[in-house]
Amino acid sequence: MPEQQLSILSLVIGASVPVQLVMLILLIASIVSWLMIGQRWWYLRQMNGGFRAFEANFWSGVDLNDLFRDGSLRISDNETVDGVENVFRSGFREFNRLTKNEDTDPDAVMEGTERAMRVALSREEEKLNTHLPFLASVASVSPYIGLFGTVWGIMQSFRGLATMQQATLAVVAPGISEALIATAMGLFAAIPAVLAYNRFSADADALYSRYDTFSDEFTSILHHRVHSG
Amino acid sequence: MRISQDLKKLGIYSLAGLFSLALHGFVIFLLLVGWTGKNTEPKPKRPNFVQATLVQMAPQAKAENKQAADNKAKAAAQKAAAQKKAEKQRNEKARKQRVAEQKKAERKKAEQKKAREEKIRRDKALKKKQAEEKARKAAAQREKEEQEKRAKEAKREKELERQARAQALASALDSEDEFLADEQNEQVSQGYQSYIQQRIIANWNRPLSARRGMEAILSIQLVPTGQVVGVSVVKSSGNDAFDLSVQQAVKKVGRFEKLQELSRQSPVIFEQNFRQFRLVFRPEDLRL
Repeated sequence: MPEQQLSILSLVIGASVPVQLVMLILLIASIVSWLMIGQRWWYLRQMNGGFRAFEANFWSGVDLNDLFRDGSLRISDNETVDGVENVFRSGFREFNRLTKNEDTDPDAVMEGTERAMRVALSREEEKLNTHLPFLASVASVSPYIGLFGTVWGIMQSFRGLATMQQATLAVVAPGISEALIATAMGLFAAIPAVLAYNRFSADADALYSRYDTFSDEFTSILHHRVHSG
Repeated sequence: MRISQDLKKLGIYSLAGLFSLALHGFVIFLLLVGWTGKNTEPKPKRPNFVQATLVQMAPQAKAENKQAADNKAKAAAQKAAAQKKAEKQRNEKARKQRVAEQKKAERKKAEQKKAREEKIRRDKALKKKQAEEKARKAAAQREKEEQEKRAKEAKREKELERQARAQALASALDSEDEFLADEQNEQVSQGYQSYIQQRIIANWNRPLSARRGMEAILSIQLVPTGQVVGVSVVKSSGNDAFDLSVQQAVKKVGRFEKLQELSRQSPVIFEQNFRQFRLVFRPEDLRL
């Protein structure tokens, strides 16, 4: 009988209030986590592309002053300067500021430059890792929330069963079915979040280590300049 | 500068949010639509199956029955014909005997008459009495002979009757076998009927107005898969809610799985008892 088949919608609507609340929480968590996933995916892709372009530009033998000026121009054109270029710019700015004084000790110059780059690097790392904790908590918590909804729903349906005269499977089945939807939703929210968290944290780590390597290389270039100049 | 960057960020976030919402909407849509789609899929298959079994099953059963019946009828007819022949032969023999005896008697009569006439001529008055006595004796003899004949005929008739009785007994035995088989079928079908009743009661939501002793007679139509194709109330219990709840219970059962096995194992029983049948729904174990 197709009209008596329990549709998912009717099950959700007929669920008890706590189970509905759990479902709502899970739905919101899923929507937000997918929002984060989209944003992270887009951001990490951009950072990756930006790093490659910048690195290619950097090692193409361009003058570092030109590179710095180019970035400044873009900032004044309301464009964002992100990722590894920030590391370069803060390091280079500090280096230039310190080397304006002829008397400054080369080691002190290098120390100041490195500090400035470390600060920029940690800022970039923070940017790379935004929203990842949220994804991690959705991944770990939403199955439990779903399970709570399921346990609550099954509890209710068994309590209802206790007062029934004829205890049949047909009496409990709808309750259990609607309760299980909560677990399904929890898993639905958790699985993409787990995958995305793992993927994005690995990507962010890889990108950060490449930034780190770049900053080391840049430091060594500046070091040459200080000691030769 | 700051504002434009924020705007760009906002744009990315709203894009991602749109993507997320669209994805969820799509998933929910799939769940709602795909679910019912799956359920309606096997539906068109059922009628095919039903039709196939229907067409094959009914003529087979009938043909078998017919063949068996024909064989029996033929055998019975042959037997009857043989018996009739034997009877005819016997009757003819008896008739011939009778005719021969009558002829003999007539000859004797003629001789006696001649003797009597001679005696009459010799001694008219005295010997008339003797002749009359003889005639009486002859008549007595004839009567005796006739009685004997009658006795023989009676015996023959009795034998015939006995044979007929034996035959009747044999046919009665045959029919008793059939009756026994029918009874067995009935037992099987009763088992299934109680199964059906149980399933209906299991799916029955008792209306508040139901009282002990209420009884509704339903007419249920099944197909060989055990699927209910029709249910109607033949005799109402007098309580509309009760009737409706029982009908809904039958619809809720939807399919009597065990009847599919039955229709596979013995389609004849299914066809006879469960293609369309009446069910007396009388829940007695109510705590009312």
